[in-house]
Amino acid sequence: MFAHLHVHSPFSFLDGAADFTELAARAAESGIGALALTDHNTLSGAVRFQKALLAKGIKPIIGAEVTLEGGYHLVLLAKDMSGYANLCRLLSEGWLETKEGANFALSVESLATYSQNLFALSGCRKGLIPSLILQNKFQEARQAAEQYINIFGRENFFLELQGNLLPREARLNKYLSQLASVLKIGTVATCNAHYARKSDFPLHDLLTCARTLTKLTDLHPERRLNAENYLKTPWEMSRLFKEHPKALANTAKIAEACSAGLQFPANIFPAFEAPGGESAPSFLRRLVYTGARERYGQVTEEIRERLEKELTIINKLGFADYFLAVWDVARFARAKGIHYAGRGSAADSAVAYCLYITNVDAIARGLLFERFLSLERGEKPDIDIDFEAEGREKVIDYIYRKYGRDRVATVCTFNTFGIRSAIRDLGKAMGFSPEELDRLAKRFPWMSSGDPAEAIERFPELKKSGIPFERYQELFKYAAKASGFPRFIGTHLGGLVISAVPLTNLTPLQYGHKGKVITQFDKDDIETLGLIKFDLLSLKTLSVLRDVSQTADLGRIPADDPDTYRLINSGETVGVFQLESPAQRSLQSRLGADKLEDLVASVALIRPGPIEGNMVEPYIARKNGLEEVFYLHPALEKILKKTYGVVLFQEQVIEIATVIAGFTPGEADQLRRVMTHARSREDMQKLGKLFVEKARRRGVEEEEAQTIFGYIMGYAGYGFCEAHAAAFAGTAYKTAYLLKHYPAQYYAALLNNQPMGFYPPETLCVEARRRGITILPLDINASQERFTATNRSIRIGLNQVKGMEAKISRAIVKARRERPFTSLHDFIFRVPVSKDIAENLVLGGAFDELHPNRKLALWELHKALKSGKKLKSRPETGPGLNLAITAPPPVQKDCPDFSPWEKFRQEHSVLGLSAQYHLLQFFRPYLRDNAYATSRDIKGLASGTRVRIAGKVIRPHRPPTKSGKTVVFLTLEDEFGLIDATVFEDKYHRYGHLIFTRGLLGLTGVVQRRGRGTSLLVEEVHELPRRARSSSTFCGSAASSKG
Amino acid sequence: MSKKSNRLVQVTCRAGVPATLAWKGGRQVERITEILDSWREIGAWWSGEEERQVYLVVTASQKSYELCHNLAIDTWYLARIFD
Repeated sequence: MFAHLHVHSPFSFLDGAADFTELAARAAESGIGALALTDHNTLSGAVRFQKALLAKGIKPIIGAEVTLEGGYHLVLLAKDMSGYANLCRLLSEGWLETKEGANFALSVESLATYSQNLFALSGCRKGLIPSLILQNKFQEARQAAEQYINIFGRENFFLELQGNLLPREARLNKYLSQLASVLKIGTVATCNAHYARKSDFPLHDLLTCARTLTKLTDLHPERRLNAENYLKTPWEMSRLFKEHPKALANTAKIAEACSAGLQFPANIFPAFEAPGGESAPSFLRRLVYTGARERYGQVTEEIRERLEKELTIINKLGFADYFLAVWDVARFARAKGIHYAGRGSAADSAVAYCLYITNVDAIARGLLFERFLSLERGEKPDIDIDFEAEGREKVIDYIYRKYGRDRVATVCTFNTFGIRSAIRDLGKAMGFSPEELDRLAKRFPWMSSGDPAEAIERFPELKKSGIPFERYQELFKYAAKASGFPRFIGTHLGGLVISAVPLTNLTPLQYGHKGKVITQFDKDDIETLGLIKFDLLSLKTLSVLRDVSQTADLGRIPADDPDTYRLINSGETVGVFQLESPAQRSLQSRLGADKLEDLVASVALIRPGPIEGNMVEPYIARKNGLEEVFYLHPALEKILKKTYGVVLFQEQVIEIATVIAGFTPGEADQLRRVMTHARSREDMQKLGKLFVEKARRRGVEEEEAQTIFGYIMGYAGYGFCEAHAAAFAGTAYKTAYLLKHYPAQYYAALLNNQPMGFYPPETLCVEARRRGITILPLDINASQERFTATNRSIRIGLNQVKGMEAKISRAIVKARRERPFTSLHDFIFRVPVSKDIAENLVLGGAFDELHPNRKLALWELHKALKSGKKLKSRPETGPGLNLAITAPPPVQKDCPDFSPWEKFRQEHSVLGLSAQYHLLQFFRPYLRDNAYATSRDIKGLASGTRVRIAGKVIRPHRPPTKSGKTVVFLTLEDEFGLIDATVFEDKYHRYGHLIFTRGLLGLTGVVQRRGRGTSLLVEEVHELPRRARSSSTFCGSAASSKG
Repeated sequence: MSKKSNRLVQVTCRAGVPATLAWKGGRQVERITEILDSWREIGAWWSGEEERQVYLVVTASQKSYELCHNLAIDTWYLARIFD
């Protein structure tokens, strides 16, 4: 057997050009028996590497090429799990001890501390010994080798002979071999593989350029001289090392001495310390029943049975400690008044409900616990909790304090090459200018990975863009190859792991964003290590609820408020959590929701699956009595009644399989999984056969059983987790209630928590205005730090100003509390503000009340800044002196103010919105003269009316459709409101290049009225002519454009 | 000191390595007595440059040359002449 013991993957971050599938395929076809993963200072790829290799029958060995002090490389291979733990500790020490800005460097002392059960290879030319030999420092090389022998032991340290056809290689290998003989240690043959095949070299070279910020035409020592760092076949290696047969044989020896990959314990969750030494299961039971009594008032037999069933499964699987830990987190949040909401399949659990982890009553909703946890599946529970943004940090801090900093870490993420980033990074290396690449990359729709050439074929806005794509063919080829490769390690937004043992036994740790300690494994791989992930996410909607709770009592929101449902039924739900997209608004305007159940279904309906599966229309028709609700079997009525006979939820699939065919809960969930993840036809047929057989045994006719299976198969792939939908629907209802009853406060809260939701701040302002709320301008004497609301108005906050710092806005409000500002001079003297922020305040209109002419105000500002400096430098003056008295009177110049158009542009630039103007007002005279309708007009027109309308293009998108054809949905915004528009495939091919690249468009189309909603079916798309905009005249003000 | 060159030469190999070097249409032939080093280079692959095997050789007349073998088209050229 020959083994490659020095192999890099893309997890060497821009120093590996073949993914694990390619490496495994190449190894399999070449007859390589084992591969060792040796990425630079990381084990991030280990789990995927192991999976890919084992799938091909190749032995995986886990290791890393570590960097020592002085920049020297050394390859370390884990013999077993104990060696792996040492490798984790070493890497963690290297990362966590490295000073900010410095490169990773391990000390020899660290190596000595954690050297057990590791093989060490002397490394590439950057290894200490090879580099000393290349400098003819033979004595020092020998001393270095002796040091490594002392650290690792004579039988564990090998001198690495590399076969990369580099200058002086034969000589280097000869000396290394002689040194090995003298010291009685082994040699080992490697080729320092950085890619699978020779043909991968150009991509590796480009990635190296991207890593070193160089171009192909530049010289850089990191660039490889040749294309010899590929996974050579055993035959090629035997030719290269014919003079070193022992070095070849030692590869097999080392590989045999290493265990095949990683074997972790199933569960490393810390034991929960219950009070008085009570056992975790007992304490959990006590808490659950206490919660049940609070939640239900009386614990009925049905509730008790359900709770016992869940507790039995939780305890059998050994997750009592985990549930207690999550309970503890929720308890802390509640005690601190932090808004949170459990979501996901955890809401299928009545135990989670009784522990106040979720707010979904799984028993009342008839939710299946097996969707969340089952004995047969035995998988780890996955509880996701959303927190308001600020509160989340407090919760995380609490967890760190409780479990210890060595046992808690944030899960990492990997930033991977998408089309845009690959074009930018590789294009730069190829010598294209950054401006050209920026223009090119921006034209591509965001895609996490993919082939640019295929995207050009697929998207008309690219095809018709006029970009000379042939110029970029080579770039596209390499961008497609790099697609999906990790670029750098990042910090997961919410994933936290807690361990019973120090985490450095299991994963290397390093610093991530904002100094957070992160694991080197991401959320997909971390569970393989035996760790359970907590998802503590930040949900801005909860921050919005917290903000509005200053005015409204959230605890007193009635369950079925008719006014709230009337609002939802109108489809005017811009800003409502989960119900604001055009598709949701359209659904709501036709569905006639009148209870929470309808909102739960709505959340599940507007998803790719149900839309593609044509579930939306039957659902609406059946809900409104326009289509008969029928059940294939009487037993299905109980299960499908709440969704009018439509299989909408994954829980329903499980229940059908249980009730009709007597599947065990675990079997039924297996069926749900196979269906949801569109597994093989074979698996599906096997399950279908089992379903029919079992159903027959329970007295169901074979034909009927087959029909039912076909029925659930047709829908189940599109199903959504009901518990998750229910958790979201509860929050959706609350936000709709607040929008209905506290619109100004609610919109102000949305504006204060941007970015969030589907629409930008300006669209929210248009919607607020349409509801009769006045958007008040920025005012240095009236604006608070954030947006503030009264019953019918919202005042723009100081923090909205571009470049504004929290301490400055705070200082402004504080200074104003003493007395209002009387002039710019007064302001500049009393607030320590930079020139840029002061200018932005002027351009944003903050001084309009004091200086109505903004152009003159800017003039005054510069004078004030000058005199302010002078005054502050004089010891007899300082803050507190009423400068307004001493300031010179403003110079009265015959200087006209900025035009409304200029003011609009400036406000947009510094505030992102305008209280006074809307873009379309500047086009309205032209639009009126040319018979363009407004969004307000259209809402009064009959279905089928042909109209022209113009507006700002908001969020054009192409969701999946039932027919599989591309349909574009977009929202057009004018000063009166929004109108949703639909563009079918033929028109998209014709006008896609305009729809996705222009901010302002004219549309011609036919009015469609469905339910209470109005939309436009687009026939033609055009740009407005240049002359359409009037810079001096505009129509009214945004403030007066109420609906 | 060395001098750059780009002259095509004829090379015969023995056991896979250069043995003689000839130029001027074969009128001048040198026997290679020692190969000091050998390596492979990829060159400017992005502009179509091909992979080459480079040999640092010493001839019987005690002269040193850097010989390049273009592997794709099997041609040899003298890249550098050392004094």
